[in-house]
Amino acid sequence: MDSTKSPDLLQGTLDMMILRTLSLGPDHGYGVSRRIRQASGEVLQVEEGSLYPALHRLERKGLLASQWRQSESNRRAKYYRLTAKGRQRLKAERAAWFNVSAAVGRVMGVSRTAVAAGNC
Amino acid sequence: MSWLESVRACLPAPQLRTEAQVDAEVDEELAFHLGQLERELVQTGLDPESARAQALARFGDPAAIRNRCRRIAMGDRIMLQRINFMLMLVVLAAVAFLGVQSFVTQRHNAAALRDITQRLALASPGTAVPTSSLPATSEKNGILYVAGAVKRPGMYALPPSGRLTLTRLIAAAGGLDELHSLATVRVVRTADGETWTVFEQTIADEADIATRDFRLQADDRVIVSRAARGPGSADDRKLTELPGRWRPASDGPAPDPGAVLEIIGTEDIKNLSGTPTGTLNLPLLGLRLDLCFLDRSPATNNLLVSIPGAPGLPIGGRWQLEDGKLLLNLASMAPDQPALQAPLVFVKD
Repeated sequence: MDSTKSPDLLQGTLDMMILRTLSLGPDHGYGVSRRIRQASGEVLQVEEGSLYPALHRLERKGLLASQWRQSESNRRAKYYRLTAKGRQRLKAERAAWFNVSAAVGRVMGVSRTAVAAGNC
Repeated sequence: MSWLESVRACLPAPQLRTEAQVDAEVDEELAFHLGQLERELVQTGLDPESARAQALARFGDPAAIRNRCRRIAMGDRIMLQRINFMLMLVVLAAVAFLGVQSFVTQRHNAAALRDITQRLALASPGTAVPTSSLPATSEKNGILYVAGAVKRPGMYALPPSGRLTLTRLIAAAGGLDELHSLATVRVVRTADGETWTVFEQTIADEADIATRDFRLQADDRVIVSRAARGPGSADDRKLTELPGRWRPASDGPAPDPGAVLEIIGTEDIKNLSGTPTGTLNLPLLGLRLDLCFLDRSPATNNLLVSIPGAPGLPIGGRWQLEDGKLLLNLASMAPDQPALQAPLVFVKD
């Protein structure tokens, strides 16, 4: 993922992807990074230099909450979870994302169904 | 984040983390991530050293990540702390300014009182120069005024308890002055712009007051006068001679030959809260005094002297008419100041 081309878009997109990932359950930073990579079919690799500031920013905005606890590797890790406010934000951003991507898809001559399915 | 959200995020203060705590947390979080990444790479077949090197290369600069996280965690709070500090400085500066202003005003008033009393002493050669003024703390408890047939008329401070009776005040004023016949003791009170008599008794002696004692309040005026005289008495006739323009008598102790005393009228004791009835200009001394002529008794003719523009600094004295000469004895009404003994003598212009 190139972080130099469009910072605004990328920051918003990264935030949305973090919220979406954590909506599936609490996880630590490494887990979030791994889940995004896997969910994107190994296409998106979130840089740690962007991931952790984003996690801290979202936590500060009250969209995420955190708790230190033992990880599966028996080490202490900071687990993030989505707050009610974060869930609301995710819902709104997800709807906006689909609208925008569908609109771009129409311009590019791709159907909404194809965009939603990722077959473009 | 709006400023309101920033404030909310920074409160409550006791739960706020320090910079060191934030750094330690981020470091631990990044170390965990790096360890997991190393493990993942080892599982793909890399040896631990290569895995660590590769993980570090992928990770980038942990110090830079920590700094960004710290700025996010502390940024708003640092700004609020600065605003808080600046507000504290402003409040401290305002308090200091008011304190200094109050101190300077008090010193100025005390110095003005000393200066005026000394100038008056110069105007009356051979008299003692007062060495002290009314203590500044006296004003705090309240002031009472005693005029008339007492040995030391003037201003008296209420004690810190605020309790003072007529008997004690008259005793403090030296007791009744040359009491040969009945005298009337009157207490005049002023509140909300109204003045009225709250106590009036005719007494034979000081023991008589004690049997009819009365509790006084701040700003009460106690007037001790001889038994009432009928209109047209010798004293009243003297009073009518007062209005006019007076100049220093050639044989009187007046170092200021340009002094002019103008009396525009006379009033009775009500004038304690009224307008001046005369002015005394002492051009060489650079002083103008306002005079209130009080009390019609020749034994206790009181003067209340004030400096225009400095109403909080009244000085007292007595006046007397003798063979067409007007004698002004400007004594300090403050109880701890010695009186100016030699009178200023004036003749009608």
